[in-house]
Amino acid sequence: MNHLLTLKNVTVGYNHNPILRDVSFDVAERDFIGVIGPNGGGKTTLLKTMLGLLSPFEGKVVYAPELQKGKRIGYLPQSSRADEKFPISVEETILSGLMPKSKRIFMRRFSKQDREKVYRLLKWVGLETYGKNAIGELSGGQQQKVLLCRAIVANPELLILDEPNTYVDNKFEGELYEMLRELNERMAIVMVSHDIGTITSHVKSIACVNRSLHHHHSNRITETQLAAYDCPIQLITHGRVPHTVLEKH
Amino acid sequence: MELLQDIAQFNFLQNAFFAAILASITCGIIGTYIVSRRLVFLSGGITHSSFGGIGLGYFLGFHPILGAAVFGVFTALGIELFVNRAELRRDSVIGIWWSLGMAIGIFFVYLTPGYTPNLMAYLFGNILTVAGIDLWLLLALLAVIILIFATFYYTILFSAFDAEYAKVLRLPVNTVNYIMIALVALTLVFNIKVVGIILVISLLTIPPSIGSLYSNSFGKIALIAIFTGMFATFSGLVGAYYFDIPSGASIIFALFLLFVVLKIIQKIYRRIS
Repeated sequence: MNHLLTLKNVTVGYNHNPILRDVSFDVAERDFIGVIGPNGGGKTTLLKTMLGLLSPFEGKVVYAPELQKGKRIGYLPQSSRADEKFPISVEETILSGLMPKSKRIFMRRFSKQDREKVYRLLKWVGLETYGKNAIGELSGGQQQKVLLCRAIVANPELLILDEPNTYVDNKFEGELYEMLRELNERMAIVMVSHDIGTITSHVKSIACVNRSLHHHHSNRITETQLAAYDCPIQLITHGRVPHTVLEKH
Repeated sequence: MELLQDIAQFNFLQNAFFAAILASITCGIIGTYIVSRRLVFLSGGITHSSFGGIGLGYFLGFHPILGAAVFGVFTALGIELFVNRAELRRDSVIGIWWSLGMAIGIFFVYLTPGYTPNLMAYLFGNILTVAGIDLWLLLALLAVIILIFATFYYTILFSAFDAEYAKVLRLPVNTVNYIMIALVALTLVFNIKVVGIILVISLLTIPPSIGSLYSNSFGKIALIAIFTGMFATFSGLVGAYYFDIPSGASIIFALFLLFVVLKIIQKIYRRIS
């Protein structure tokens, strides 16, 4: 399988303080990787490095030719970050995802085909009548759907999601995983989540991030393995009642 | 119409009307940007600190507005740099520059021997003292604003809306921000003569607020802001002429009244429908 993106012995962080040390990690075509780990362990730092928002202190990030310096990476940031009052329409928000493909920052207007793409996606997420609304008028879950459309409108090879299931209701979460499964047929997905129980039933492999990174090439993981990866998280599964799976004690 | 005869006759009245038009257009566009990005406090800091340049202009004998322009742009970029590099809180940095600029201005005005003509016009504005050079500066600024928005409209919009995502898209977010902040500073400073340092912020916030009552689109808000700005500055000017009150204050009153009336009409309309 083709590697889309490879991190080679990367040490990275903020203001000369490394958060991640000596991390090696690669994403192949059609991967669906769930990134888990404790808060402050470096999950978001990892995503920002992959997106090219942070430059590594040491090591390097290698992009496959089709990704070309992150230009074909879709990104869904953590929810509730958009300014509610900002005067931008749903349509314009999604169109922004097409800016890099045109390579023209001088571009004044988008083409008819661009707008058709936007409305096809809006239909896919069931928001086709909201194109002209301001993004701030939509509910949290609807906004997340719009931002997901923005992330995939340019047909990226790789989609990166930062805790897409925070602050949204269960109904949206179910829909989201269904959409991601469909998207995974066309693109690799890397998703950070705090909810390990739900994530394991949808992803193909798991990356544990806590200052270092261990890529576990299966979606089944045990507390013992997590401990071995130095990744202290509780395993919570969602049966009829959410509960923690406790090891023998 | 006595006023119309006076306009035909007196050059300073013609200048005042041209200034009202140019102020409305520049403030309408840049004001929409300021309000959208919530940069009102930053703008207040830039305007006040530009008083340092006005004081220096009086002391050294050059056009105070040019001094203010240099001070304004340096303050604007200085605040951005300070916040990015020195890791200080944005509003604290703004507060520091705000008062430092005013202090420098007061210091140089005090040092300037004799009478300082027009000082009040800079503080409180007097559209009737707008001269040819002020109009040319506003006209040049307007040309630059239109040029930049025509070429970079979506880059500006997307960088302002979600800077992190714009960076992922490899848009020149930081460059665009610095250019826009410099434009904000120049717009504030070149409009000082129209309504004054203390009042100029209203010319940039009230018209876009009126625009926001009717639209969610950046372009439409700016367009509405431009026309409401013109209506209010003209009414303010006429009010100043007939009631013999300071033009800066009458323009602000006109803007505020217009905003309140339209807001109330909207409330009533919504309740009925």
